Formats: sequence, structure tokens, C-alpha cells
Amino acid sequence: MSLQSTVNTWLKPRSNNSSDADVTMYQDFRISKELIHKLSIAIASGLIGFCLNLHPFVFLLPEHQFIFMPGLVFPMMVSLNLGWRYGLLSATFGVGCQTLWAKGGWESIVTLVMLVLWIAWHGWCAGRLRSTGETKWNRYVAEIPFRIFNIIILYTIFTWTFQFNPPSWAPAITKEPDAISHLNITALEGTVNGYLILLLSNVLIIFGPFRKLFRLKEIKEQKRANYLLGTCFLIACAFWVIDGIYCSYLLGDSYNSLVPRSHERLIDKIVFEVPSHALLERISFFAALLIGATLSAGYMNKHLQTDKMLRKLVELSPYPITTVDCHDRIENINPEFVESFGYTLADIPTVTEWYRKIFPNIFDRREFANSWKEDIENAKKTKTEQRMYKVLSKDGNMLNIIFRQVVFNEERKYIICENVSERVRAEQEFRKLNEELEQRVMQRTAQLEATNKELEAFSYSVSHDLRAPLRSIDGFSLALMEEYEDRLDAEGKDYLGRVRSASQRMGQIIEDLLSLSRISRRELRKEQVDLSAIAERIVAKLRESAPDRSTDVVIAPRITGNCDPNLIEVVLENLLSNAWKFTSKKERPWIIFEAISQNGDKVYRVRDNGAGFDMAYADKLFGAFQRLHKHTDFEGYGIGLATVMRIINRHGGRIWAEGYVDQGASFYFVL
Amino acid sequence: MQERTILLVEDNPDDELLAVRALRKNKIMNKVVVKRDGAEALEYLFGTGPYEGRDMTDVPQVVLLDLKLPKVDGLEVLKRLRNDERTKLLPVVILTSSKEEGDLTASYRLGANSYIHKPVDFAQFTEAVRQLGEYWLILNESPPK
Repeated sequence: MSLQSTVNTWLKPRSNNSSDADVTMYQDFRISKELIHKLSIAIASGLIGFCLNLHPFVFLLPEHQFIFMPGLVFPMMVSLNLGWRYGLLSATFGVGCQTLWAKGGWESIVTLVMLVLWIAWHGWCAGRLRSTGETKWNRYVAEIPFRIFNIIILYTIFTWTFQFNPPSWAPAITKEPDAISHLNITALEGTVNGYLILLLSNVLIIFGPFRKLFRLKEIKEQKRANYLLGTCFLIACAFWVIDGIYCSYLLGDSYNSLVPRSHERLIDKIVFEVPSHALLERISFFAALLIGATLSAGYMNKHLQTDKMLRKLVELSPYPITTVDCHDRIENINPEFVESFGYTLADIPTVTEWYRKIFPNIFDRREFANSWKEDIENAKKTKTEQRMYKVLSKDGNMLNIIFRQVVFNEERKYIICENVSERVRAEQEFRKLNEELEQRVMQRTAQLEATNKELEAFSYSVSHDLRAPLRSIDGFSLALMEEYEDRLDAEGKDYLGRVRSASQRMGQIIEDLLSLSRISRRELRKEQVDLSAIAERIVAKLRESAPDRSTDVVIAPRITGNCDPNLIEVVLENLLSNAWKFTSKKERPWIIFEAISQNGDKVYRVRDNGAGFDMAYADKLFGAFQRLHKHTDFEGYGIGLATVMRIINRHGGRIWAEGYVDQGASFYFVL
Repeated sequence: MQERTILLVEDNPDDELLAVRALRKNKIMNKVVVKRDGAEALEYLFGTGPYEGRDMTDVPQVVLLDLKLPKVDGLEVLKRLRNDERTKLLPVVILTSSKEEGDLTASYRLGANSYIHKPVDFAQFTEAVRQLGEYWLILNESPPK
């Protein structure tokens, strides 16, 4: 086995097996820069820890030494932040060196193995905490079971090795009854040491340079935290130096002999038998450390809360989201994910497994893998890319999914999926419908255009051809009457007169029909029009045509409307001249043009007291060539109201009429 | 001074007869030259084809032009007349049955001098021809030759 594969299998044991050769990027775990970085930090931290532990902080207690080994904080930081594997490596390096220095006896093996285990245990718990967020994995809580375990070991295996193979440096304490009291102190020392190291590693990791070293995201107000922490440590170090100098100066050679042996209670040994100056300095040291720790913990707490909020957000999100750790293991999936894909965490322990399930086709998977690499790079630059893929759900449906990656740090990324299958289907349907509609509109337009062309050709032909024969009939009838007057009797002349008037009437009908069709074909140009002025003009013309008539015509002032001025003139002309015509036989005729309001609409009305009509035939009123009066009573061809209706329709308006025989008529229209 | 001719371009013999009758009834005795289609009218005016060598000083006083004609229609005739130096200023009166807006606009755009609609009522037609003759043959000053 090469070094490469050894590293792979050891550091990434769950990532893949070799049958997965197709998805190269997940199992092709090269010794990348990142890995080298992590490995070197782990090893260096172990070695630094070892060097520091050569000079532990020794608190002198009556009868005992209380040894604090600050060097442990470095492998612990590695374990907590890079994972237990790196922690194990780091601790092995540090403790391994320490073993070389051990002064014989098996005791050291037991102690040092416990230390290594302790560091790895915390690394593992930190990993669980990151993925689940449960409080039980908090380092201070996780310390309790380990400490219990450690104490059990201390009183059993440790004691046995001590008895059977006593180290050369401690012959004194192996003897009863001191041994038990020493064990008590060692257990206490271990606990205090343990919590202090955890606290220190917790505090140190807030420090900016360390965060950079471990490639963690900066915390909020990083500078301020750096400043506070730095100050705390400087003060603590100053105290420590002063304490050291003071003790050596004051006590000189008797420094080491300050271990009176007595059998008093532990509390007396720690508190009362320590020289007061030393106690004061130690209290100051711990106070400084505590203040620093408390302040930093505040920042850390904020950080943790954000984390909690994020987890809640993921859980409640309407999008399927997975949380993936740095080894491409799926840490968590939210309920929406299960809903959309059908897979549970048990089905897809790793990203590779997940992709193998949703992309059963190897080519799809390869294509996805290629674009995914790009996405990861983009996501690192906080630019989230959107791509849509067709994927397979657990129950065999094809889904359209948009994948987005959010990378927070080296440890974890979020893959946010958006199930757009519904949208895609709706879009496709919409597009299809639209195309069909467009097709239909095009067909209709073509039909309409053809009809329009036909109509135009028809009216052109009517205009030119239909009238020429009529002109001949009329013209030659007149010629006959003029040239052969002497040879025609009265009856012949009457016949010819009828021929002429018939042809003229037909000419007029053609004229009217053409104007009706012209109105239909004409472009509508709407503007604000003064209807009162137009009506006045028309009435003036009507009065001119029959100067003998006296008719009361009332036109309401300032009636306006938004319409085509030319066409509306045709409407008013027809309605007013109709009113004029049908009131001609009245004693005191009147005509009113006004605008009234009806159901919020502006309704124009032309009323008269003329011949009126029978409401039973009201529906025939607006048809072409429909007449309700005899030709001998009132002239006309029945085209006027049809024209009016056509114009009102073209404006998108309505027209209707009310009337009673001999009691006048009212015409209403809305534009 | 010799009275100048009227060129009537009209394909319908009835209309031609009626028009000439209307002119005569109104004592307009100018010589009326009748051409049956647009092509013939153009040949006559430009002295080409069968009219090669025609006395080209005999320019009509006015051209009465129908729009609907065989071969070359009235609008095309008008266009060619206006595009030629010799006939650019020739007075052309459109005399047609049509009252279509399109015909009216096209005629005036191409440079018609007048547009007269032929009414069905012959009495009205006679009146129109009378006014037309009075205006174009008596009142109107022809453009210089």
C-alpha cells in the first residue's frame, strides 16, 4: 500500500470504496495543500505541546506539587477544530516524544495513553456537536464521562502498574498510606487540568491568529476579542513571572523543601498552608484568566447561537437542504429533503451515495461532477451558481432540481436544492399553449385578412362597375325623353320616369351600402370631441334644408366624448336627421340631445316626439335595409341606423332605443 | 384660333356616348378624341406606336381620365403623364364612378388636377360635365406650351 492510499484510507475511511471509480473527484483524494496544511499543524502542535510540557507550571502545595501542563492545549485545539483523527495524530506525536523522556516504569504508558485518548475523545465529541448541535456533545459536558472513566483507571490499572513496576522517580509515594492521598490529589489535578485545558483551548481559538491557522471564519468583532484576550494573557504572564521571581528570591533554596508532610484535610493543604503572597498571586492569575475566558465565551456564545438559528432555519426551510461535512459525509438532511427526494439519511450516508442514486446513469454523473467542481469554486467565492439537473427520486420519478452550494468554512457546506419540477412542467405547458394560441391567431388573422381583401375587392367592383349600367339606364331614359318627346305619350313618359327614379334609387342604395362598408374599413382615430358643437352644426343644416319648419331643438351644452370625430358626426347626423324626419308631421315637434348618467356610464340620448315605433320590432331597428315605416310615409332605405350601430360597435360601445307609436322615440348610446 | 381637343379615356361605350352627349348639350363643341384603354391613350399622347408622326402640337386642352381601364389603368396613365416632361403640366381630370377614399388620395397624390365622381342621375351628370367644361375649357388658363 502506498503512502497515498494509506493516508486516504486512514483519514477518509468512510468516503468511498474502490468500485466507485467513476466519480473521480470524491474518492480521488490527493495529498492536497489543504491536507498538508492540516497534517503539519497537527504534528507541529504535538511537538510544541511536548516542548511546553517540559516546563510545566508547578503550583506548590503543602506536601504535593500541582502540575499544570499548558502544552496539552495545542493538540487539544487540533482535535477540537480539525477532527479527532488529526487530534490523535497530534497527541501521538507530542506524547510519543514524552514517552522517550519517561523515566522508566509502565506508569507513564498508562498515563500517556489516557492523555491521547482524552484528546481524541474531545475531537470526536466536537465533530458530533458540529453535526447535531446537541448540548450533550459540549466539551465541558463530554469531559464528565471521560473524567469518571479516567478516575476508574487511576484507581485500578494505574495503581497496579505503580505497585508492580514503580517508577524510579517516585519511590516515596508508592508506600501506604500516602499512596491513596496522592491518588486523590492526582484525580483532582487531572480534573482541574482537564477543564483548564478545555477552557484554554476554547479561549485560544477565539484568538485571531489561531483562527487563521486553523482556517476558521473570523468571529464578530475579532479585533476586540484579540485585544481583550491578548491583554488577559499578558497580565497573567506578568503575574506568573513576578510570582516566580518573588518565590525564588524569598525562599531561595528552601523553595523545594516547602513540602511539609501532614495528614490534615485536603482543603487545609490547598488554602491555608500556602504562603499568603503566593495565594494572592495565584488568585490574581486565575481571576485574569477567568475574566478573559468569560468575555470570550460571550463572543463564542453569539457564534453558537447563530449556529443554532441556522440549524433551525435549515430544518424549517421550504427547500430541501443537506449539510455536508468536509469529508463529503452527509451530516443532516431536512424534512423537506425527505419529502422531495424520498431518501432518508440512512439511504444516503455520503454525498457519493446520494449522487449515485439520483444520477443512475454514469454519463450524467460525470457531467454533473464536472460542473459541480466549478460550483464548489464559485461557492467558495460566495458566488452561488444555479444549475438545473434531471435527477431520480427514490420512488422513480424524474425531478428537475436546481442545486446551490453554500460553503461557510472548510468543515461544512450546505447544498440547497430547489425542486422546480412543477414549475418546469407548467412552463412547458404554458409554452405549448402559447404556441398553439399564436398559431391559431395567425390562422385567424390570415382568414380575416383574406376576408377583408375580398370585401375590399367587392366594394371596389361595386364602386366602379355596378353603377355604370345604372348610369346608362338613367342617361338613355333621359335621352329618350328629350330626343323623342314628340313620339311618346303621357303613359310612356310616366314609364320612363319610373325607370329613372328606380335606377336613381338603386344608385342611392349602392351609395349607402358603400358608405357602410367604408365605415367598417376605416381606421378609428379617437380624440376628445365636442358633441354639442357637431349637433349644433347638423341641426343648422337641417333647418336650412327646411326653412319653413319650426322645430324646438334643445342641445345640452358641452357634451363631450372620446371618439372618432368623423364617425361620430355620421352617428349624430343619422340620429338627428331621423328625429327631424319623423317629427315632420307633428304639430309642435321637438328634439332633445343630452347626456345622462346611468349605472355610472355616460349615456348620450337623442329624443323626439315624432312617429315613434312599436317596441315589438325594436330588434329590427338596427338591421340593414330594415324599415318600420312605409316609404310613402317617410323616405329612406333603412341603412342609417345600421351605419350608426356599426360605428358605435367599432367604438366598443352600445346602442339601444325606446319608443311608442306616435309618441316619439329615444335613442341611447354609450361610447 | 382653332379650338383645342378634349381627350376622353373611357372603355365603356355607354359612358362615352353619355359624356359626349352631356358635352354637346352644354354647347361644348370642342373635338373629342376618345381612347378605349390606357395604353392607347399613352401612345396617342406621346405619339408612339400607331400614332407615330402625329401632329404633336395638337395637345389636348384637358384629359378626362377614367380610373378603371383595360391594359393600363387610369392611375398608371396619370403616373406616366406626370413623369414625362412633355405632359407634366397637362390638365388631367379624373372622371370615375368610384368614390373610394383610396382612389381619391392616389389620384391627387399622382398629380390629378380634379376628381369628378360620375353620379347615377344623368341630370346631375350633365350638370357636372357642364361645370367641368366651363371651368377647364373657358375659365382655366392653360399652361404655356
